[in-house]
Amino acid sequence: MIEVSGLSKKYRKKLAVDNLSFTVETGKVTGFLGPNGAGKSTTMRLMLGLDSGGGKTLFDSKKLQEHHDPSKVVGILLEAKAFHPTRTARNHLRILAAAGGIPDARVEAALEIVGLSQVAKGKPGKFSLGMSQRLGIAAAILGEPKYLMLDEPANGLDPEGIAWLRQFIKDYADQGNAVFVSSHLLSEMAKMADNIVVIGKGKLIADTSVSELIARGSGSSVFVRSTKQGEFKKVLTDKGIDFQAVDNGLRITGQSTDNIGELAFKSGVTLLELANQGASLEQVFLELTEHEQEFATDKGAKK
Amino acid sequence: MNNALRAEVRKMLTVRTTYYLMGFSLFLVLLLAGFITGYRVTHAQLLDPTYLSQQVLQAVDAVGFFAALVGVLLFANEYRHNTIIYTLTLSRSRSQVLAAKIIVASLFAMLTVLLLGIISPLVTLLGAHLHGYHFAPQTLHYGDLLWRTLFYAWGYAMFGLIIIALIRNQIAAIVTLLIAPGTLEGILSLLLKNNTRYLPFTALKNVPAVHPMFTGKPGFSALVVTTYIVVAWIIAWLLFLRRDAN
Repeated sequence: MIEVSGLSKKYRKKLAVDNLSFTVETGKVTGFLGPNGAGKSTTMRLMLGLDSGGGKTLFDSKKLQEHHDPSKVVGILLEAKAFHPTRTARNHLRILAAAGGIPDARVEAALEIVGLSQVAKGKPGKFSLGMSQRLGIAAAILGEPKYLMLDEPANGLDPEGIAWLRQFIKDYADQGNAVFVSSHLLSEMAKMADNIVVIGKGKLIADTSVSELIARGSGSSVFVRSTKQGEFKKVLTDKGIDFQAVDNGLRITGQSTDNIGELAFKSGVTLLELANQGASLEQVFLELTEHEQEFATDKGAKK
Repeated sequence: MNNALRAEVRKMLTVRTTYYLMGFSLFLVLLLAGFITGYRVTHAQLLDPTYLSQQVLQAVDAVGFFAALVGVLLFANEYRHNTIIYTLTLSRSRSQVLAAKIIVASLFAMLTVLLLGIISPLVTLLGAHLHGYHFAPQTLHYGDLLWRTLFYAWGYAMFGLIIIALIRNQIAAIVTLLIAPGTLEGILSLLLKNNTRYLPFTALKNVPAVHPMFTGKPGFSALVVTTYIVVAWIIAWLLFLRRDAN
């Protein structure tokens, strides 16, 4: 688990990150959202000790530099173009392998995983943004770290690349690792993230599961269909949960699918259908960050 | 520490600039030692028993800057291309990263300058031989030549690394390294007169100089340079530990 506590960073008079605390759980993908200028990249840099500031970040209860092999703890992709443009992709990774005490054989494996084996001798300065991102991902996974921290990894990837990345991230987390990923592609985030951390102007706005977050959105509801509809209505009423009978089912407001599913299970009610309705992650994000936009136009995207 | 050293060596050997700079240094030695001081040697110089020693020191002086530049680029590229984020994340300690850079840049500069210093008199002899000239018996104080060569290479590499560690901007660091020894200290010498020997680059240049400027003897000059390097590294080191990595 990554435990972030009290992170803060000040640039002259501006507080870029303000007492930020959250956790990144293993076995899960944690999305990191925030408007432009919210402090996402700064937060990631603070977590890694690249920037100086207040607070601390513990990776399995230890600071990153206290681990014997930092390369086995965390892999990073903070910038797509963080490489020497005329040094070959293979040599770029071989240098990182040497620095992290990683066998050179891993370089070829990482290139293979990200699909860059054929351009291993190519100069990354001539790579497209998508290829650069893939090289960055290869660098991140080189040491087979337990934690991955990826800042906007989908930027510049084509649809096939985005689908590949989504599956890759989910699989990586499923292997008992944790992935902490920021992205502005909210539909993608909704598909791959288990938990979401939302920040605005450096402050924590939300740290919860995706389903919980979506449930917070106005107009968000959960639709259920059950063979024991009457029995489940009584359970909901007893719990003081608002619902409305609709065609063939119930529309429940102010709850997540996780909560309703668990409640039905505990009550012995078989559900035939359980689905989020209404709000999307994008809607909820825009609602949450409505007053936290650093750079907004008068005609914002709010709808 | 071994990992950091291995990474720094790989960084140095996998960029073209390293080879361009070394190729140019070799060309410079061949031109200066082979043609100008060898092939075009004068009759009076042929009789000078210290002539080859002087050529060694002059060659060392000429290529010191380029060897130091390789070290500057080793560090500067990290900031220019932002690979410093990987370097620092993969290492357990920033001090190890800095120490590895210092060791690799120093060794590279010293070995390169030493090698070119050895080539230089041989090429001079060859140049003279091609013209049918033969030198009078030469006196070579190997110990003296060796320490002055190695110190000069190390000193230049250190000044270069310190400048980039403080400035963290490739262009600004190279410009500083170019103008500080000649232009800047040249102007200051008008004010400082004989005290110019206390300026860092003047003192460094006096170490291999055949005719030291402002009465700066090699041993004394080396002490001045070392003092500058120690003090400047304390500042640069502390800043490297505390500054944001960008």
